[in-house]
Amino acid sequence: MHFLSDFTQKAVAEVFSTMMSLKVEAVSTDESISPSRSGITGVVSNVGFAGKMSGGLYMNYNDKLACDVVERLLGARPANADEGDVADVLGEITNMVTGTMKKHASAVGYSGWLSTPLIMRGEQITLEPKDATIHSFNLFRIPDLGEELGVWVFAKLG
Amino acid sequence: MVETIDQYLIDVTQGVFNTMLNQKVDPLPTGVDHGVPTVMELPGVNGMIGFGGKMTGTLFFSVPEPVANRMASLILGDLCEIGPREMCDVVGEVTNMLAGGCKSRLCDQGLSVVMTIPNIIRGKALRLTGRDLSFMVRRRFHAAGLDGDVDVILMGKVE
Repeated sequence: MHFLSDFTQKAVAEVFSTMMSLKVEAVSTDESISPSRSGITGVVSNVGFAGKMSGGLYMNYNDKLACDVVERLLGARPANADEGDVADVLGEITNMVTGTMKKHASAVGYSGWLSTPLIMRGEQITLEPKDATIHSFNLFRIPDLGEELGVWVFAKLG
Repeated sequence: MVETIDQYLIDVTQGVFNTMLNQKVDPLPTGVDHGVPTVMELPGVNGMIGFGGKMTGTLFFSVPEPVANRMASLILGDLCEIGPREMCDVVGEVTNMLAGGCKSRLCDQGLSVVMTIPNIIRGKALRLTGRDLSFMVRRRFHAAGLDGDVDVILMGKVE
């Protein structure tokens, strides 16, 4: 497993535990290089990073999971995943996960800066990273919520 | 600040289209938006590059698919058949050059930044919102030679 996958898994587990008292289990990791990842639905949140390591981290929630996470954090369930609170919460979680992942990467020499969070919605979303030499897809299960979370990291070192 | 960034987008976009595609693009007088959006629609093919440093944010280059195909044909010519991969490669490269041009101007103003790698994002009914933003500048350009309009968007905050 590439260190980026390891750091991403640690970061997701740490943030979900600390912020929401939720245990997440890493189900699988796929590090195959593919030109694009397509057919993504639901909500995709993103934070980019640049410096000694450059790329982006993407977290994919289905609508139910997005609302579950907001309810867990804020104590009130949004009516749907289009509400503003959902973007606020998912953006902040992605910011924390990427920041934690970057902290681990900085400790081994790959320092950098984060961009601001973006939250996307649509159907059949395709992500096509350019110049990324590292592709990492990590699937997590969240037992307490009965849901799965997908996290992609695309990056280039140096 | 937004007026300065708006001028950067105009200068850089006209420069890149002239250099890479030998095309003139004109900023549309009504095609400018300076507000921080609640939600932004992104139809077509969208190149995206993030910034970090003294300014953090993201630059988007949003192109309708037919225009992206024409851009790819102009750049690649008869070298190869133009498919989705070639179209995305060209949009990614143009996005890279737009971001590089903006980066250079920002650094000249003391706002040193570094860039992420480009990403192409597409989807049906794709819409996007950002968080922690203090500004957004969206400029639409008409590319007569490409028979369409393109959008260049820079959103972010100054640290």
